[in-house]
Amino acid sequence: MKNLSFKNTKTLWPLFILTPVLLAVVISNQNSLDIQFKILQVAALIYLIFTTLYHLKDKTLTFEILIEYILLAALALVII
Amino acid sequence: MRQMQKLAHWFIPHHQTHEKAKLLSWHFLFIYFLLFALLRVGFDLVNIYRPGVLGTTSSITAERIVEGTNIEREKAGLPPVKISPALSRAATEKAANMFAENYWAHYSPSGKDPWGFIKAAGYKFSHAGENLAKNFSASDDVVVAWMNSPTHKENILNPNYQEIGIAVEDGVLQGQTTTLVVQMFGKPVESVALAPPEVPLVPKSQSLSVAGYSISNNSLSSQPVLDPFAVTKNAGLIMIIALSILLMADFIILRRRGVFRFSSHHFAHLSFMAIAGTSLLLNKAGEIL
Repeated sequence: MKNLSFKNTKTLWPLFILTPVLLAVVISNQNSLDIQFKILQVAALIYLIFTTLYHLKDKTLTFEILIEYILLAALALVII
Repeated sequence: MRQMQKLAHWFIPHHQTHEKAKLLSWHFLFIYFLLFALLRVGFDLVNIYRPGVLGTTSSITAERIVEGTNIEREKAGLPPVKISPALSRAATEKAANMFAENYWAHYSPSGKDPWGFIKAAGYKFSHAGENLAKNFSASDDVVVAWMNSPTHKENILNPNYQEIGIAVEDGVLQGQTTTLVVQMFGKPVESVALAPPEVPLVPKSQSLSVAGYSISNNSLSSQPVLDPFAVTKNAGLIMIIALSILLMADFIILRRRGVFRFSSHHFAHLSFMAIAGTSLLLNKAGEIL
């Protein structure tokens, strides 16, 4: 199970590395709603790219998985 | 027992098929998305068809804004600015014009600039500047927001300014009940009579951008029923926290069961949620210009 579930986690490393960086940028721009929204847009794009790549490499990309990522990104953007 | 398992499947993976919790399925994600989109559209429609119903209430006072401004000037080693009745009149006229022409900008849609209001109030200046704020609930928050913006801070800490005029006016702007704060600074021309002439300083905080407007509304004194910012922020935070808890529960339960499921990546979701949640948490009501 361990081997299967973490087989291609390498693909997601950039996402995990960028998360604290983006968090720091969000915190340092806490007075600007516009910049925060732009950062979230960039984060959504990175999130979609790397997760899709991860599933493509893993050969586990299905319509349901893809739509789940897209909907979660869209939900975050509509909330903010 | 079966009913309990069915109910539990809304929140945790299925006990036999290990299928993701129903509330985490893409069908429900779509429903959440639609609900938030409808909330946004609903607020916009209320602003258009029932102006004044939505908005914020505030406890802002002109005295506290002046006090806060002078505290910041004192910290920077500058002399305090004194209240000028003419500048206060100009600020009040500016606020009234913003409500009347329904705009959020330094320049009115009909072309009126801040300096025109100051001159019309009978104030002759060698230097003048303007800071604007709306949708804040406390005076100190307004000053803090201005101090966090380099261009507004430049106005507050401008050594040329000697006098100040403040207007704190309630009304309906772009469909929402709000408290508008207009801060005007000036240096009367008499005080530089012997000094070489200077070009009036136009603050960098000036902007030509005009937010979308449609209907002209005069100020009302009615209280707003709902604060759309607070509603969206709180509902959004609840949603993000709930989804994060469900994702973590899903991950932990699957690990405990020793099951692998081909599905979306929990940590990728949680990383993105952390960014969205932090951004939402740091969002503050109030805009400055």
